[in-house]
Amino acid sequence: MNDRAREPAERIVVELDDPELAELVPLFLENRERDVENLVDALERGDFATVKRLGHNMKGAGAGYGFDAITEMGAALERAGDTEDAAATREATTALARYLARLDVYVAGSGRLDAA
Amino acid sequence: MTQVFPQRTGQSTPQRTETTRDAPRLRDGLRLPLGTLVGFAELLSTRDFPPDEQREMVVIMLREAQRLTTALGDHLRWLEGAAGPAAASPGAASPGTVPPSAAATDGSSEPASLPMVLLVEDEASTRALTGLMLRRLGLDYEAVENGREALDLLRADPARYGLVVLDLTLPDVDGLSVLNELRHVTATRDLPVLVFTGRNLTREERAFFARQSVQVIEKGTGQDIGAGVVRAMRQGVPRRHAAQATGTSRVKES
Repeated sequence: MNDRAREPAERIVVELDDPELAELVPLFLENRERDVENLVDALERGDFATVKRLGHNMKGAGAGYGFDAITEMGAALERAGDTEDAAATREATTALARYLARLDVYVAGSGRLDAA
Repeated sequence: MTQVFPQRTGQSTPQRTETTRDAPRLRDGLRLPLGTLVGFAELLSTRDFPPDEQREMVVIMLREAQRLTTALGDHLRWLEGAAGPAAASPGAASPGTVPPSAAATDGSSEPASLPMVLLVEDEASTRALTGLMLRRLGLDYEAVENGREALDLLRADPARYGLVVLDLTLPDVDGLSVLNELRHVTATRDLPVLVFTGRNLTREERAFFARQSVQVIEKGTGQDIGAGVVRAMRQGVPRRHAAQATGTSRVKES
């Protein structure tokens, strides 16, 4: 997923076949957009505890919503926060921002899911 | 903030903020046992359980099937009453009154047959997702964002809850502290707890949870929370809800 994220023109398509779950996805993605902002702030402040906490939460929630890549990025952020690794935090935050910017979510039977 | 989803009992809790009880009464009466039946059927058809756990789940499903039949029968009698006295079955409710099964979902005359779950999770998205999973198992739940709120609710009314789904990493009182307090208070000592965590647990932590008879599900690993819920509830059955499993009593009469 990270390799694909380096190609700016390529869209990332995730298809969901669970309408009830899909109803929750806009809020989930909105919260991840907010996480990007909070990660940038935390990085500037050297607040790796926040990086670790946000990564931990992302790791826990991503796959359940059908976004395995977010779980992977969350795990990377949690590790980066744990080891206070600024470069790794920056890299994972950038990967997350790119992923979200290029993400198209489709729901079976309903078409494309609009962001919240 | 506490989120409340009293789907089955519909008990009035004005200090709390959200409810899913907005559907027509019959639909509530059908949806709740159906949710349990479908959720458990999904678990049984997709995962392997030991025979004794399967038996426990099937007992619960049979009881919910009986509730479904009762709700339909009650509503049919009510409809027949609404069509006119000549069509009414013996014991039919008066037209326009609440059918017995609907009243049970809307009041406190018939407590829930499955335990109310207290969901303790600080991350909103995970809370919403876990709540969806619980609803699909036909379980009512209340959700809080931190350990302090959880302890406040459990101290105020420990008998209200039959299961706690507990995150470990919480902003104030962490999950381990919540668990420790629960285990040191008589009223909650035997309360089934399912730890739902994104933390990589150490061997010592796993041993600790095993000693505490706590089920553990790791987030983001594909582990099914439904299976964890069933196992945690089952652990509680002999102590708190033994009569419920045989259909001879109700959840809060332990």
